[in-house]
Amino acid sequence: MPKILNGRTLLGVLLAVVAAALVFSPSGPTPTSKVDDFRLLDHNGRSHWLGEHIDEDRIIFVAINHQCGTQDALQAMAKLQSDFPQAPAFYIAANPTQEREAFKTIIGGSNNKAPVLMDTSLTISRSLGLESAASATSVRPRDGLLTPLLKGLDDCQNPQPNGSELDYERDILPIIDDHCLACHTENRWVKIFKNYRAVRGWSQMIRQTLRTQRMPPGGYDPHVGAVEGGYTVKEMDMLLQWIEAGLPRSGDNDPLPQMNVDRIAVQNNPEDWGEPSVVWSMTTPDIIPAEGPDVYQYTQIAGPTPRDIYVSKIRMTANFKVAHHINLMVLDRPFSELTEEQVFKKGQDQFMRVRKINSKKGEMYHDHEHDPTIKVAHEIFEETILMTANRNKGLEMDFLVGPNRAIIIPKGSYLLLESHYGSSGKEESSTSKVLVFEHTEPKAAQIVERGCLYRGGFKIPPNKRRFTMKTAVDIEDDILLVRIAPHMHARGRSAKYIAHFPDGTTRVLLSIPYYQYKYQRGWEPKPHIFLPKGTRLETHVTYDNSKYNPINPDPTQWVYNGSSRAEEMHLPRFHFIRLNQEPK
Amino acid sequence: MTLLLLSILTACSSLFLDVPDFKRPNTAGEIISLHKMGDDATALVLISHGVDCPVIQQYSPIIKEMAASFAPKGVRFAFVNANTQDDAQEVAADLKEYDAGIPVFLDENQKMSMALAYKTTSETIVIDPKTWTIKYRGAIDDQIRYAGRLGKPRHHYLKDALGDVLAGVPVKTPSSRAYGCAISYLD
Repeated sequence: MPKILNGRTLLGVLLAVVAAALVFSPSGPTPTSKVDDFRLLDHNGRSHWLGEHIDEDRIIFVAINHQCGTQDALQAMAKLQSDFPQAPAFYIAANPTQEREAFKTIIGGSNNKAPVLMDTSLTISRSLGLESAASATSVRPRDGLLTPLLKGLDDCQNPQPNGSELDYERDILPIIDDHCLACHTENRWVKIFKNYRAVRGWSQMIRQTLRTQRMPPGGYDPHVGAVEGGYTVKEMDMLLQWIEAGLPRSGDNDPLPQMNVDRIAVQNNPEDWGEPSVVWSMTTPDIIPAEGPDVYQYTQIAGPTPRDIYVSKIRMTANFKVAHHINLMVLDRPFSELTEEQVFKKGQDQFMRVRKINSKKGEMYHDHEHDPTIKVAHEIFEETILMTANRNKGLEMDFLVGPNRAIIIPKGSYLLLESHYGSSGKEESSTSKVLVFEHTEPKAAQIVERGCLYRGGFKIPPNKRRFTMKTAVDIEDDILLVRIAPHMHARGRSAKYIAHFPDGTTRVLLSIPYYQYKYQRGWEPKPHIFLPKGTRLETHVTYDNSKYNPINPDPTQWVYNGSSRAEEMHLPRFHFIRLNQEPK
Repeated sequence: MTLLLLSILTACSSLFLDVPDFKRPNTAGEIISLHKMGDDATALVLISHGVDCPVIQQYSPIIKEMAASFAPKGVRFAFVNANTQDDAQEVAADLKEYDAGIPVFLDENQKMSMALAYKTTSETIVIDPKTWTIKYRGAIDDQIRYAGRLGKPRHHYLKDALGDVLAGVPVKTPSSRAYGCAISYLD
């Protein structure tokens, strides 16, 4: 390409310099330094996002180290909190091992309380210009402008990221393969990982999504415990450090194109499951216009089923360019017997009534006698939704119950597809299909049950920044918990699942400090979790109905519980195996 | 001194910046000129483009519709692509899918995009070609965010800015935050 540039006037040169200054943030804390957006977890596992503080004049950050200069950092915080009493203030700890417990002790015993942000990649502190303990800076959130406040201790420097020692092929490609390529191959979404050149061209976007923890999707806290397909903090930190170091590689060899080919081959030819024994398909396609609001379509695709079906695997397909998700629901009556009013009545969710009718007890919740903020359910209600497939899982989604495990669709059931569509900019059609693979030895299979801890009837005030709800259920059998799937809508902010065991101990099973509505993920704890009879399973969720939630449709309105996207839900789902019991 | 000058320039440069001419190839390999494009235009809309960027893809029907509806009023639309990973064929294919018929400046050395201070694709600049000043910088509207998409936009930034420019009045909202795919400026 010929390089034709008409910028050789003094003005042109100046413009280029100015533009460069606008684009690049110098590394040192000069008066024109800016920090790009970021999100970090604190020492209590809560998620904090710089972008949320857009209306504040300044935010204070004080570097803290649990091993040296700790008192200096606490004193620095005391001084700055007194100098800027209105400003939100945070400690930030550059430490790959987090040391959450140490910081709980330090902050718990101090008068200068503030969240300690866990800068495990060491790169966020650097981008704030913080290089040593007790150094401090002020950030103007609307544009990231930095004003250094305190220099910090020379003899307690932050550890340095070692991105320049990382190698593309040796260190980075395994991470990309494990955690990125499933969705970002050449035939799926946003072909970021075609080859090294593409990774380089997309590097600022990758950096941004890592810094703001939008990717990998789902916003879970890996510190709490491992999940199937989960990533470690270290892996994501390495990726970020490697990008900050300029994407070093040791040679020209680039295995990434071949990795795409291999991955696509697997995606196109999943393991041979043989012929499905049951296929349910939509007879007419759903048409999704080029533009317009999201729509839910309901299609009964089967029923009544002539016998019990022991499901071993399911494969569901749809046009995931437009299908946000599809739910396969098991009803005990034809869809036509559920009126639209029943289904969509504001403030209630009548799909849940199916569950209520099925349940043995009428009342769903009672107030916990000790803690009125917790509503306790008599039981986990039987889950209507058999499975969910969504666009983040690929062009089709496979759901495996697991070896020797089965889910039962009882005789006489009606199968309903709930399809949530969003426009893509082009008219599209979608014909969903469900392929069911039955268990070959149903008598020997462990039965996986599905349950949900639905809580209805709540409403969230306008402009409410933190609306919290707690629900609980007392587990009445020994169970093995195999999957947890939070479900909230656009105002959902965080979710936490806690077990109070009969022996008095407590364990956080799963924490989603940064719930992302866009990605409806389920999480399979690794290993599965044994919950003995008498365990109380508690859910803590928060919603953000303020203007600081970027996808809040209307912060000025009350939000009622309901199934439409404009309403709000609390519907965590659980898959579990009942132990010590005969299969149903 | 340089620092002071820089900070002053930085402070006032993102708006009211004089725009020099840029000449770049389009997807057909023909050299197109920004100033020439402005000869017969009442306003220029320059949108930062990237292949495969979901934000640009979602905005494509809106861009197409706006380009058509403002064409009779003399407003001309163009894309600027600074992505080092996008080649001309890929850009052509990406734009053809939406049949936008909007020219694109292939900014291979990224200097045009740097001078225009684009940070992300979908970032949109409205230029008054009479004075070659920037009248608006930011998002097309506020419908698309990283966390998801609002049912409908609350603010039609670009449409409103063009209305003000065509009416010859100061743009009421001269800047907004653009969401798109961050541009990687490489050496």
